[in-house]
Amino acid sequence: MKKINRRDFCTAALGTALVTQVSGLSAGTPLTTGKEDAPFIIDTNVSLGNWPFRTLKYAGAEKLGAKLKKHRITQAWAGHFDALFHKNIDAVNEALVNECNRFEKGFFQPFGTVNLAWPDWEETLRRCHENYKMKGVRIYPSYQTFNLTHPDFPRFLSEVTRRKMILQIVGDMDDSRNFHPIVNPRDYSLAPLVDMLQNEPNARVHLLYWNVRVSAKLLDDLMAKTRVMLDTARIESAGGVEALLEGNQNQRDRVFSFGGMEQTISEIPWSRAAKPVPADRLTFGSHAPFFPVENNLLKLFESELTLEQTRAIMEANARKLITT
Amino acid sequence: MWIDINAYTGHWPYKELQHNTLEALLKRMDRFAVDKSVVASLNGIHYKNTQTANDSLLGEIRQHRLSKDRIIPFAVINPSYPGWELDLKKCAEAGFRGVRIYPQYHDYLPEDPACLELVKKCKELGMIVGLTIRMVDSRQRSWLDLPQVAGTAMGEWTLKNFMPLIRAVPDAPYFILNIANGLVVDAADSDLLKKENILFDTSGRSLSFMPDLISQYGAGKFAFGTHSPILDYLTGMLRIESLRSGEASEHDKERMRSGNALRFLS
Amino acid sequence: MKDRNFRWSRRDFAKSLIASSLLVSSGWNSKPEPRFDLMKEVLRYRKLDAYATSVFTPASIAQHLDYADRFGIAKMFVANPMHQIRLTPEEFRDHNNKVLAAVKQHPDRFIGHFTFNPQYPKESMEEIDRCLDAGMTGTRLYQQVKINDPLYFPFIEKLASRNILIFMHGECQMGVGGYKMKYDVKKVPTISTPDDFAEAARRFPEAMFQFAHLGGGSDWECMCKTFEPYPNIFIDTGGSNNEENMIDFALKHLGEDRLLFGSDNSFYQSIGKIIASGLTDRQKEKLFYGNYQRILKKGGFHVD
Repeated sequence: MKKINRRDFCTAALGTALVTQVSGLSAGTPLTTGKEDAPFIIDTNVSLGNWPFRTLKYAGAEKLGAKLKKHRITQAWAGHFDALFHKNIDAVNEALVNECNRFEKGFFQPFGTVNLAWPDWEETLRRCHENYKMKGVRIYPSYQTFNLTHPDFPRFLSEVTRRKMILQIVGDMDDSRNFHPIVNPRDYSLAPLVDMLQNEPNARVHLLYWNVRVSAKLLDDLMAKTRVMLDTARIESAGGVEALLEGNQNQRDRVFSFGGMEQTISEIPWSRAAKPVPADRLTFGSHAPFFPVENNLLKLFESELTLEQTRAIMEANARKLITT
Repeated sequence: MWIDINAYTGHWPYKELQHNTLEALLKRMDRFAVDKSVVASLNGIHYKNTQTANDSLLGEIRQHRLSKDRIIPFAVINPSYPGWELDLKKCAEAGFRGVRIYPQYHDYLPEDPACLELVKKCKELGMIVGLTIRMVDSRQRSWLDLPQVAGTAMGEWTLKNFMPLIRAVPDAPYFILNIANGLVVDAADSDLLKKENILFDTSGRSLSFMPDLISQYGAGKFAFGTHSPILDYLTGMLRIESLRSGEASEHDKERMRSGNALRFLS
Repeated sequence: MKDRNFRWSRRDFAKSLIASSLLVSSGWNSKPEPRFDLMKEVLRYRKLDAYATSVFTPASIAQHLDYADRFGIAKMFVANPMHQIRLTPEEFRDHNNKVLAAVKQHPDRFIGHFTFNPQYPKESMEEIDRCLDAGMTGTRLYQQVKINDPLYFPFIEKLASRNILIFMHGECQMGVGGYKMKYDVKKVPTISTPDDFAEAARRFPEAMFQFAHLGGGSDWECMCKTFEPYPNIFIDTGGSNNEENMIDFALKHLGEDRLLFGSDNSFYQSIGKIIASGLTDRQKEKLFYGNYQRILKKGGFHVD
């Protein structure tokens, strides 16, 4: 399988200036075809609106859209920051649609939210699907007032599936060490998904910024027993994407440098997977504008991925998810 | 003339606000004949590093051609965060006339040394210190908002919570804003509150019958405030305008509309 | 070096102060025409206060009348405030007698609401008849029993048959209602929530219900969204809370015919927020007076 020419792709996706600053990338063999062969990208994890705890450089559809386009992103699935905090959810969803429409038609795909703690959640979901024509909804159990143990959750999952919508579940939005002193997100578990999804084999569930909440065992179960998809937003450490695809069993010894001292570690310390995660289960997600887009783009190039794997993660898997 | 000493622009995380941009505020001011507003950035209340909110507000004011003469910025300063002294200095040099502090949101107590230091510096710089008793009623707050909730063991803050600060720096100029949860303080503090360097705005629900309050504190104690865009724009004004001639002379009403504020802001 | 952009120079300050003083001293007892006359705007609208409460001491009555005169409130519909009491027949008769006494003193200003407790069905039925015969026009129910409790069913039927608005106190805040039971604010579990009202409204579509005080400290967005599908639930806009957009939001979700003016003894807030809202003059007229008059007329209780 052909390895992507990272230099050419990086240049296309990241811009020449950034490429010259990136060290350690293999020069590879120059492509005979032009830059236009470089894959396009669907970003499955961006947010619009205001983040209450910090001014974000690319907040808002116009700024964020321009930034994403610059990096060959052709479609971005957008939630709204207000979904985490507001009680009047329908107004948030309407604001999301309006914000998406401030940029090029079809670029931002709105993923509205539903809060099961409110008595009118079914109507909210109906409006997302029928009025706003959303392809999916995004929920934030660590911020909103319900989690996967809510008695209505199975019915909610069933209804989302019946409507052929995608359900994105956000693990976290921020590192807990950065949390505002008075705003405390709650802990919750994604484990109930394993059993629930046995009853909903056609459900399309997609986890965003999931890593802190998914242990190795749970990841293995989700991969083996469900069709849950994952985004790349919070995959950390050098070669993290590759490590996820290979699983622990194939981990090479890696040499890390800590404070000038070299240390050999026989497995990636953070790695959760005992078993390989198939490449068709991953989608590109930047968590922009919270994270720099470049962060997640670079992750794809520090990992030894085939062209097919890279295309799958960048675009094909998301396209299949949204069009199925 | 009307001067609103308690207004904001910006976002509140927990609810969509109306009239929360500079442009919308100026339109309201025009509609209701308010000449000037003292404005702070709502965004700064939930930032740990508040200076970006102050910079944004200043930038907005400077860009908007109509606002420079009508909007008086106050800075949100968090004395529990590093660099606040430099932030305060920058704000003073940029022409902010005062600060507003939010101990509950920035997780410190008014009597903490850093807060006392901030207020002393404000006094030296001639900057007014705005103390907001509460931002929103806890009974309808978001579940992610402050944990101090009316009816629980950790109830809402009152004026009493700020008295240690006022006692420690008694001659700083203070605006006490959105007075909810009563005006009752310890006997020793009530004389302190009556001093001329402390002004109450008229937005708070504890100002339940103005004639009695004017008898108790005098017309020099109150100044028009809206707490907009959190509260409606006119209730603070109604508290002044509904006073009868036997309760407050036209001169006293004009002091409450703007004269008392002018005393501090010049 | 200080930027002088936001600090008044001595010259500017003096100018402002002089201008301000001149406004007053141009004639010792006159004032110039204001650019926005708030009191003129307030007094344009006749008002019926659908939710006034009093402890009926002389001071309380005097203050109510003072507010009514000050703000152009034609009639106040009064009752006792909610108390955490059992509300035995003796207690509810005593409550109602206080109201009747105040109404007798000021028949042109006060109209009475009565209370009862359905846990005492016989006494409550008798009390309703007594109070209606004495000229009271509606209920003032509290937290002893939920509105959708079967104990209330015969009373709802009776009141509905007479086209009497069933006014009950309700709450919708953290710690109450169950939708986010994070804080225990020690509310009695029998207090009615918007969902309870919705259930009662579904069961009795011919009855008219009034949920108390949109501005009473509860989650008003939740109230409005819960009541939206039920045309027989009305709400008064009274209470000490005057959040911006409260009235506009209520208009959007409930329409202009279901909002009633009420003070809950917070007169500045209850009036200020309506005048500040985006409602048209006609909508404000309906809110302040027309809607309640229309409802009262159904039972023959309309004023004037």
